[in-house]
Amino acid sequence: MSDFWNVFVGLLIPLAGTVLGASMVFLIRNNINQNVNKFLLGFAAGVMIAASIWSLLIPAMEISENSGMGKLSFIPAATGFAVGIAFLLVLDTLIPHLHPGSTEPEGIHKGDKKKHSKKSMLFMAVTLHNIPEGMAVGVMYAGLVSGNTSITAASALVLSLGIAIQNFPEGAIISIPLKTDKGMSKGKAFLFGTFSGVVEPIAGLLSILLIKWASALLPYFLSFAAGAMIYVVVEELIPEAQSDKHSNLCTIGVAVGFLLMMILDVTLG
Amino acid sequence: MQEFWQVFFGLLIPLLGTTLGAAMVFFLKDGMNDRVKKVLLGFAAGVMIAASIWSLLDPSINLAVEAGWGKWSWVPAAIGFLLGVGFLLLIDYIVLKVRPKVMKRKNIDCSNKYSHKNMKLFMAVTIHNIPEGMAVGVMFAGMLSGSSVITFASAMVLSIGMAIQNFPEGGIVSMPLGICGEMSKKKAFAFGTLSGVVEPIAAVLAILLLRWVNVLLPYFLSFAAGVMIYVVIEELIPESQLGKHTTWASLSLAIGFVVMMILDIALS
Repeated sequence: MSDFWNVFVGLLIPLAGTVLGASMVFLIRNNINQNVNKFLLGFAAGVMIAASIWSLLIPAMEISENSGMGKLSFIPAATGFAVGIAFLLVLDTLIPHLHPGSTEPEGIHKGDKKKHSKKSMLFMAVTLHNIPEGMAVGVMYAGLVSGNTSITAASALVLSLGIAIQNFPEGAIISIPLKTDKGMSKGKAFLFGTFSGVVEPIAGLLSILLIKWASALLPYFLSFAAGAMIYVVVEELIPEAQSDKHSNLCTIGVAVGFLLMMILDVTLG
Repeated sequence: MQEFWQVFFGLLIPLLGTTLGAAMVFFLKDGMNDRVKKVLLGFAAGVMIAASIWSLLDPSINLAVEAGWGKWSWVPAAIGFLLGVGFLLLIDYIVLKVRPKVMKRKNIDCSNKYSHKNMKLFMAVTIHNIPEGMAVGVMFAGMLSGSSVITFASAMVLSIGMAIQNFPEGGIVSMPLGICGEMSKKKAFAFGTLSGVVEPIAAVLAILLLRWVNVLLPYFLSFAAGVMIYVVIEELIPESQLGKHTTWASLSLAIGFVVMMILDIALS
């Protein structure tokens, strides 16, 4: 039963981060200062880079090594990572979506704005971004439940906390511009922000169920989640934070987020 | 003696990258093919992210663990990393803010002919290369110290990653100088190469310094990691994700990352 509660709490912590962040819409009147935004995006990127390596890729390789793959223990990690990047690349190209704060839709049906409302496209962008994070947490807990020694309750919690911390600014980055730029009511903007985080426990739960059924694939799924997260960092977070006026705050954010995650992993993991 | 040659070649490989890049001034009229540049930048970014973690931060933490830091073994890694990022921030702040803007230029723009801008760019790239050279030097210093956490292979990988990253930089210095008629192509090539010469010099200095204060190795390793992450976040990724062909950049980043990860696991 303790496993159940571990998983339950672990999957909900990241959502709590998003909800708290989204609730900033009630407290902050103006749009987020651009520099703060850059710092927060960088921070999220730093957490995700460190998390994908220490929490996902290194355990994936340890698991393969323990199962006797020896020198070849990088194969599941490399395969899963590559598939994770490719998967997000395909989703990113196919699904029509609109990033908050941008007017240029991405994905297919670019010119065909009538077919998809702006709100649904915004939602798609955020969902695309949050699925990898949810999966990552889910996969860690799946490893924990399967009794794998390379994944402890502490290391799963570290990832869950890390994702929650970086969800806080994400929730705020989504809900606040919806109010200030797109004219939504506070309540609706808050709901939208929260919604964006709901996909995380769902994706997490689905990953757990999938891996229960095919636990030999755990190292592949761990590294798949890492690939998906790195894709979001490289293709979205960093370019977005480095666009427009140049600022060093993004880089400082990356350093802080990265270190925080590294320290959490070394002290708790 | 074998070690001497290992270090010798290890330090010269990054310079070779700069020199080859600078030589582009003889072959290309209007800058590098955009797609090739994106692929190279992305690849270098992937290599450097993986290298800074597996080759630098992990060894730094492990060294601290060996030295009995226990739960606090992240301290040298965190301090060094912050100093590395902070050092480059400071350099960028002091030297000039010209560089990022000029580097984002897709083709050679001769509108600032005879201006000092291209020479300023040379200065900026050169100064930037100092910490990058240090990073390579630190790895080889670690190898020389006989520490089990740093092998010749991992030092070489960093050196090659730096060389790849230097290739477009050499061209970025030499091409505007030569093509805009500011100076002869040979002279432009010499300037391009010169921007990379500081790397082996900084590396040798780092090696000598660490010989003398070996205890600082974990700090210097993570310092180098901070430097590399800075270059990736501030330059390589934004440049490679700008404009067209960004998918090529992302894919080659993934490949670079995986290659580096495999090298680390398979060789160590």
